[in-house]
Amino acid sequence: MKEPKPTGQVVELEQHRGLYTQSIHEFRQNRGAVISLIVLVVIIFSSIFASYLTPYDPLQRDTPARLMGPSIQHLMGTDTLGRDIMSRVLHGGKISLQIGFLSIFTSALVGIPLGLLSGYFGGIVDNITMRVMDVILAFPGLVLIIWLVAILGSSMIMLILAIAFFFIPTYARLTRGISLSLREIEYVLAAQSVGASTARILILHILPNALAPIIVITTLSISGAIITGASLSFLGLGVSPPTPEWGSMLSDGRGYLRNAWWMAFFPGITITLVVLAANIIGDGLRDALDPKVRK
Amino acid sequence: MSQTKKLLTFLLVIMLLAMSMNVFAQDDIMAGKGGRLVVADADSDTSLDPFVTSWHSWPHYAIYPTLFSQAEDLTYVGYLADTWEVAESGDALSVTLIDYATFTDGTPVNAEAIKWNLERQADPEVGSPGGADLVGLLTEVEVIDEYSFNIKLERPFAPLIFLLSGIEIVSPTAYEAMGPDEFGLNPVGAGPFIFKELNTNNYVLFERNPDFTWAPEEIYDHPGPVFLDELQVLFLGEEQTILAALETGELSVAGIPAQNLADATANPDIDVESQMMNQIRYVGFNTSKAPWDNAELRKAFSYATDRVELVTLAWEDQAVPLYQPLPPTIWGHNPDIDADAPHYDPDQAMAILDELGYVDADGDGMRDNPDGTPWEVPFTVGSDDEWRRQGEVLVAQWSDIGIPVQIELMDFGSMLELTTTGTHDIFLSLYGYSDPLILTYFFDPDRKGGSNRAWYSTDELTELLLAADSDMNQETRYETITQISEYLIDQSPWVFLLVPNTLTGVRAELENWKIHPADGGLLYWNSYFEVDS
Amino acid sequence: MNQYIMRRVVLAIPLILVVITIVFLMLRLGLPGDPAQIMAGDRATPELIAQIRENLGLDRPLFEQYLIFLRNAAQGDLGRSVKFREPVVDVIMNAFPFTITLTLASVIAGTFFGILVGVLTALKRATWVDNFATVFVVFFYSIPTFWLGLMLILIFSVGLRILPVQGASTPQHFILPTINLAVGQIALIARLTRSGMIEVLNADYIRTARAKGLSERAVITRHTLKNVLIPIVTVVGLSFGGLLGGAIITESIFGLPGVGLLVIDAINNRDYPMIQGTVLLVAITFIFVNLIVDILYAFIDPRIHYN
Repeated sequence: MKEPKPTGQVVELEQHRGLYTQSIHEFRQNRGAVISLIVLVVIIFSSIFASYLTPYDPLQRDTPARLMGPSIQHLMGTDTLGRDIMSRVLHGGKISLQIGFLSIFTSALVGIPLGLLSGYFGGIVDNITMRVMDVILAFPGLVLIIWLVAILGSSMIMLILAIAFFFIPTYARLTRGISLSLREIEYVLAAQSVGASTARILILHILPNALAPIIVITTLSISGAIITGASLSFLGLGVSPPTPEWGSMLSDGRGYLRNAWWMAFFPGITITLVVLAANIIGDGLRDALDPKVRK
Repeated sequence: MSQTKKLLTFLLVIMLLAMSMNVFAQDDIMAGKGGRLVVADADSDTSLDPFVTSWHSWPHYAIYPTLFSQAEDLTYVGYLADTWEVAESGDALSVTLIDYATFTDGTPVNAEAIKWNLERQADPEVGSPGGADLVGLLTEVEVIDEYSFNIKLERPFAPLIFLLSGIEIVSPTAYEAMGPDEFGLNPVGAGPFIFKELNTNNYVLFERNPDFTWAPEEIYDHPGPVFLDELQVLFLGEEQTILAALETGELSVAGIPAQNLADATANPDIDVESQMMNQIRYVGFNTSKAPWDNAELRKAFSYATDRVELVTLAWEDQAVPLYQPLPPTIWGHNPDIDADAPHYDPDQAMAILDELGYVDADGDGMRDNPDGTPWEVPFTVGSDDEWRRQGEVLVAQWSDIGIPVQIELMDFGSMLELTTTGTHDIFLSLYGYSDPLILTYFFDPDRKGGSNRAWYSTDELTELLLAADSDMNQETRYETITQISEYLIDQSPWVFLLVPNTLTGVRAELENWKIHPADGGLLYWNSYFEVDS
Repeated sequence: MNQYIMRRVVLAIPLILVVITIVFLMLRLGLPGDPAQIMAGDRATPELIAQIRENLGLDRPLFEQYLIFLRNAAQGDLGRSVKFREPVVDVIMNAFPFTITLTLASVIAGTFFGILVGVLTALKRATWVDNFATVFVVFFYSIPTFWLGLMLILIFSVGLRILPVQGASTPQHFILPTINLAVGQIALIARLTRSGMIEVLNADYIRTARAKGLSERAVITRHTLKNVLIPIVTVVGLSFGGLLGGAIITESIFGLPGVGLLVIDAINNRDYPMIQGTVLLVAITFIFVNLIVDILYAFIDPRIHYN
């Protein structure tokens, strides 16, 4: 099993298999990352099995019990309709986590190859691709969403795709910048001279160096995606009330900040936990995958 | 000096003394009073041209006078009008104006000026939303002498005085000199304030009109000029920010969100008053689309709605349940008819649904169509907080008896458009008005695809509405309106929900203000802050 | 390079045209909601609505409307707002200074403190400083903007009375809104800086530089920042562009009359000229900002060239 050779500031991935098992091993050594992974898994499972974890129906109102703070009966308090917030947070997780992760991953899936290719080829390809990105960035998202809802109706898939669409330029520009700066270095030129395919060059030589900032952007954007999801829902795309969803729970709590802080606090803190966990896991992943980092 | 001269001198001296005493008296009243009233109203961020905007708020009332004004007992008193008489036939009105009102550009507010304003409002090519009612109704404005004129109408129109109380009078000279586009940016009126500065999207600023002395005396002890030095309207929309700004004194007056009432009341710097608004909230059915053409089905929804719970959950008890088309704050409301209107009765609702065939055929807990197919009830709700809150409560209540409601959130513009197509099902909406005339707009056969969002009209109803609008006798008009209300309760094209309260918070430093019982607005023309003279 | 810049600037024009045309078509075809209807209000008859449409010029054939719009736009006239009847250019230009002040302040503050925290946490990697700072920064990043804004107001304006709640008339008015926005920036930049620096700090040539005896400081500044900067500059550019389009929530919470509020209002009212005007502004902004970013790339890393 060959050791990967770090040279200068660029890395060559020579043997995938060896690196793979080594990475898992290193990840497990990272206590913080493991804890975060456990936390994330717990949150995910709680959402999936929400019905078993709480006696309350997330849609059931209870007028006498409305706007009560955290207590034994209601660990996270109740909202304006007397609904139990904890059960809404747990049930809402299903939708919010899907929105958060799926939209960002879709965005990355599209944006990263675009950026890599754009920066690598440069010239017209780069120009056109980046100008299309400019158009997407300049476009008023709200107008597009209202229009989409009218033409295509609303559904979760559309919601995820819509959010993904707006994050694509971020991934594209990020990856392209790095791609631009790396395409002239010796390793790439060498690989080209021996006839390595573009895909091979991009994946083995350029992508690993873009990995670190990509992980950072991805882990941080999850909260943005969830909150954007809520705004889009209010325009008719995605989830309608009374289905619980973290983003819309946050919005419901907006006017009650002073006298019922728990309405927005608990969904908010859950989103924070997810993002934090994702960040630490991301760090761990990068540390494990990236041989440049000294152990 | 000759006798005459002495006499003249004496008279002159008396006159001068009298004038100076007047001035002193004026100064006395104004002494120690002034300040800038700062209010927040996002809706005021609109054109100041009364021929353009359909929404009239603080800025318009500050700079433009009207012929009449609504007094606290809901009757109408003269503002620019001094005396007036409605012809018995109901299709003519003769008016004599006060003779001392002037626009801020110096021109007199005379009969010609009123004629110009009314004719322009009634001109279909101008397309003034505020003058919509006058189009086709106003036949002629006949000037008799400098300060009197006759208005002639196409047909008898009972709410004429009310209508005229909403027509803002601008200076024709200024409007013609500047043209419509510029006038909105430099408006000239004859109201208690003069336009000073406009920053669209930010604020609009007015200063006291020193010549203004014609405030309606039934409403204001001191007819003018106002005591305040300036009025500033900030275009703020964020509820919680507005509350905070009121607490720090950045705002003098603000609406208090219902859930923060306790905080505001406990605050020694703020005085809070609650007042029922002249608005209602309702659920509308698209009666042109099956199954909403069935009045019994519509009534089932009315029985299924617990308005008392709705008021608690969505309005923090700051609203009053409503069982008829008009709220208590609009003349024509008849408290006696509430008793027979559908109240919350889930058993009755379920019985009706069962009888109509809407039973649970597939065992999923929700009712299905009489033919067995799944029943879908799309409920169009606006995207703002207030709508969502109400929508969620209604969905919960209706689901309790098995109605499979699905909320479809939509932004306001899309919702308006949808209701004009006639493809919608049920929707949540509101209206705010001061006269039963509003019902004509909502149930007019010619306004389907417009303001008749329920697409509902019958010959019988149209006849009643027309009769009410042209009945000059208050008593019989009231009776006709009662009939209309009962008809609408029985046919249920709407489920009437509630009448909200407006909670107004005013800084303790502001003296001498009142809340108008008819529309919940602030009467501030005699208000002031104490200042050092 | 100059050639490249010229090409980009020239390319900007058809690009803006494309964006404007797409928006123009989208607004009039298929977008639910009619500005005339919204303006006309509840008592309107169909005739009144039709008259208002005519007054607004919306009843003319689509192509004619488009040509009129282009012709006027070329002369600097973006039409009059449907709602305000004020020239769109004037309204936007009045709002823009507030937005740009807020943008500059928050991007500068966010980037500065972000890099500071990023470098710190990279150097102190895996110590309690790193852990604490990471949690702190990510925590503040995930707080919803409106929550943070209202909290800031409650603490500093209502509670301590040292800063105003709303408005934009003095520099103090910008402090809380800047903090509100910078917080997110800081997290982003800090995390990017940290991750980039960690990579590079451990690379061979750094070890070589240390062996040569360069001071730690010199090593950091000269060799690592250059390579960390590319992602940072990219993200700063994107944030800057995004904020120039108006930070809607922050402007709303703090009563800052910027472009963000204009945009929301315009969309709600289907104020076509205003929507088109703000889209034009945002398009120019992004094209310009991304051009600057691309030029900066070439400065930071001389290896970069655009064919």
